[in-house]
Amino acid sequence: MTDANATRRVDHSALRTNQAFIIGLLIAAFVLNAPALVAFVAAVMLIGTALPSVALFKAVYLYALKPLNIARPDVRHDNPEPHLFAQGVGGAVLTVASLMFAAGAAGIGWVLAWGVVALAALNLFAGICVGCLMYYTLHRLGVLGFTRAPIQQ
Amino acid sequence: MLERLLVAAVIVAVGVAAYCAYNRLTLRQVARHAPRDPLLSNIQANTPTVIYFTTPFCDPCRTQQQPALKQLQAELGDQVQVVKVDATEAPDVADRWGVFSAPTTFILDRNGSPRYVNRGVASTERLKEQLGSL
Repeated sequence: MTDANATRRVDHSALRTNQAFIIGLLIAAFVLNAPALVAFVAAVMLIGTALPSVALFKAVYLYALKPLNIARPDVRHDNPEPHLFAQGVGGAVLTVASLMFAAGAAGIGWVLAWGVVALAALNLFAGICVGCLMYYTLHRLGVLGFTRAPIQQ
Repeated sequence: MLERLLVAAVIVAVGVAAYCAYNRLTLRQVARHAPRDPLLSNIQANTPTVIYFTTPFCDPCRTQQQPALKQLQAELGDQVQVVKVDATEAPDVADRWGVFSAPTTFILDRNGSPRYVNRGVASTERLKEQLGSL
């Protein structure tokens, strides 16, 4: 591992908290038939991607769950960018879902929202981050902006 | 609202069932070719085996799965053998075993029959539980 990589750390508990909130709120949105809640989750995800320091679900983890010992820190050597990219993709899909709700195509909106639930659940329960795989694939293809290579030992 | 709650419960149940069914199907397919699979030609007979698929770029493999397997071997010693497969070096083996992500671990019983598949990180406790049920 290079010195630069050694300082790169990600708290995976914060990521899991984020995924749990996304899954919970989107299922609640479906049950309550509240497309506005989908738009809210989309906004939280996109803002959290653009400005990680004000990410709402991460803040809940940092200022409530962690101090109360409800969630323990799980800090690992990792790149934050792929996780932010994954969140951004999820936020973008939910934005499209919100537009579908606004356009009267609620069916498509819910399919997209459930797709995000499925991917977040895959990440939370099986540890498979599809967005991260996309990020590293784009990195290998040399796409501009995808600068981070996977951290190796 | 109750109707939508039921629909949500059904969607979640279908998703979980589909995931479990896919894993069962994978195990069944692997079981069919396992007796003559070159990957298992050198494993010790009458010893449960963990087949561990990884890649060089897999962070959870390095930070979680590898330490969990090391702990498992430290605790169980000769009672278990671990076969590590780099899926990037042996993509044909990964395809044959239905691996689409890393880490993936298979638990084989004493006869070399695949009994469990774990997609994503499997903790030492989970692996011990699966090995103990063989």
